[in-house]
Amino acid sequence: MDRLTHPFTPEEVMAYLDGELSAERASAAAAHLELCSECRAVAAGLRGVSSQLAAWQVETAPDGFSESAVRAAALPRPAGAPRPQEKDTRRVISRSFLMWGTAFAVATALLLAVSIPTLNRSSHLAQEAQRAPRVFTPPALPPPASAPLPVLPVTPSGMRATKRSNPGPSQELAGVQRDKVESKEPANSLNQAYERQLDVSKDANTAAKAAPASRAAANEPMIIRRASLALLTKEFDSARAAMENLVRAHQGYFGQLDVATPPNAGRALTATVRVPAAQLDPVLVELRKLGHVEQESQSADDVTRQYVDLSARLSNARETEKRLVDILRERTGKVSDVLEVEQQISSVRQQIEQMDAQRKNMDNMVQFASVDLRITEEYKQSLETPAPSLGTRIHNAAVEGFLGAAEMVVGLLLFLLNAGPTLLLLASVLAWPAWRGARWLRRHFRLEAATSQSA
Amino acid sequence: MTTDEELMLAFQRGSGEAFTELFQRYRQRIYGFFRRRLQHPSRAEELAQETFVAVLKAVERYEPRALFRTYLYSIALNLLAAERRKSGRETAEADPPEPVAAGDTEAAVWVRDALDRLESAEREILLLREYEQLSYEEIASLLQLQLNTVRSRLFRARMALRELLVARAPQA
Repeated sequence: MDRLTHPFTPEEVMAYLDGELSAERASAAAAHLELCSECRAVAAGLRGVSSQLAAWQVETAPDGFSESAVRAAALPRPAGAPRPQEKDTRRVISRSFLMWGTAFAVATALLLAVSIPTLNRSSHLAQEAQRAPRVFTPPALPPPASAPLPVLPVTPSGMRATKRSNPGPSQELAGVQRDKVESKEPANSLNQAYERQLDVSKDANTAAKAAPASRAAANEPMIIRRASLALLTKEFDSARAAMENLVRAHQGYFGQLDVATPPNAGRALTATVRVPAAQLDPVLVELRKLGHVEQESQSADDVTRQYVDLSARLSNARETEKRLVDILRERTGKVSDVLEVEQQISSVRQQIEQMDAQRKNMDNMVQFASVDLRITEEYKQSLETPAPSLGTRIHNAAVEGFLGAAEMVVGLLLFLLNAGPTLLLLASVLAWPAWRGARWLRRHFRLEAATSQSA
Repeated sequence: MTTDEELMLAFQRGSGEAFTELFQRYRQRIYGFFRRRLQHPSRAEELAQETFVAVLKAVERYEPRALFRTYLYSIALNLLAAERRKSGRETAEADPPEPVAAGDTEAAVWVRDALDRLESAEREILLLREYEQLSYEEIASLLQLQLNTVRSRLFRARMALRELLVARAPQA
């Protein structure tokens, strides 16, 4: 079909059928269609398409789509009031929000209920771990292999008798002296202090030695006191000397003492000072004057119950030992019986020695408070320090960079493992409300955009 | 009969009856517009409602520069475009396609299927012409196309649809 034989293109025929031609062209087209069967076929085809399209009719608009609903939806909503035309939807949403809100609250409460005790326990365990080397824990005694020890009533006299055999802190001090090779500085003054302390512990401190037994006998609490103190000082040497004099003056001693001089940092003295419990407070007051206090903490453990329990078991064991010795002395049974009694005596004595050692240790812990002291010198950079070579610096930077990256990856992994489940839980709980909110916002802005573009 | 534009101006001056009349005139048409283009009747109803809500909210800004019908369908087309953008984003959560509506005849199913096979630009022009009864000029204005482009695309769409429907007929 071309314009030579047909004055109207098929598109124009279509436009004629759609009423889109001018009146003049429409008349001409009508006349042409009367004459041209080919164009009539085109027109028939187009009419057929339109009539076929008419087969797809849409159902009547639902009743909910009413003018009143539209008007209500267009009204500015008071805060929190649902739109009438969307009341069903809003009701569902409100119910959903209520449901999800409740779920969120319950989940949060559960999370807190689970996490807070865990955190407390972690924090408690961390504190325990920090104090672990210093905490006195009475070890459980193995039960007697053969004859169980009879339980006898606790008597103050028995406790006092045991207490008299306590040699005091001198044994511990001797152990400290043997181990005291860690100090990186000449420790003549310290050794002298130890020697002096030996004398102190042997004769000048008898009152302190008898104190725990008498306290236990008088039902006074037996407290193991500990303190830790971190100081920063400018005058390291004078602070150290003052500290040693202080310990000596208060009849204390050093459980341990280390001095380190790390590169690019000030010297650091780490010491465990043992002072008579009664002297702890004045000693701390004096120690605080040695520098700027960076950290300080104190703690006290009541071990009265453990002490009394241990004393009772020790007394019982001694009674048992005495009876066994009496049996052995009589020698009325067979040789096998005698051997069995000797074995029992040996077992009971072993238990007595263990318990005795524990009680002495406990006595010592109660008599002498422990102070973990750290004195750090303020670091002054020295110009004379030779700078490392460029190669070394590059090497160090590369190694530190690698270690830093590795540490970051490990830290990230740990964070994901640690916080991942919680984050997932929170995300699953918050996802739906967030999605609803975003949807509402999108709808709001869409309406705005639609009218602004059309206006 | 009062024209749409006069009614809209009357509504702009505060005549509630004018809007009632306009709503009655276009309620079913706008619902049908969305119903033929969206899978879910509930969504079609919501968007149809939003179209009139937008008219209400923007009444003060209305200027009779074009036919009210063009204005109304332009809002509807904008809402539809936004809906389709959103559907594109939310394909992961998209519901399954709606099965054939209960009231659809076999011929209606064919028509829907054939229309789905058309190119989207041509299909939209065809729908606007056949179901919304818009003029070429209105379609060109709404879709921002040249008049001739609208006419040629409409012709192509009709021809393609005829081929599709003829091809399906023998199988019936």
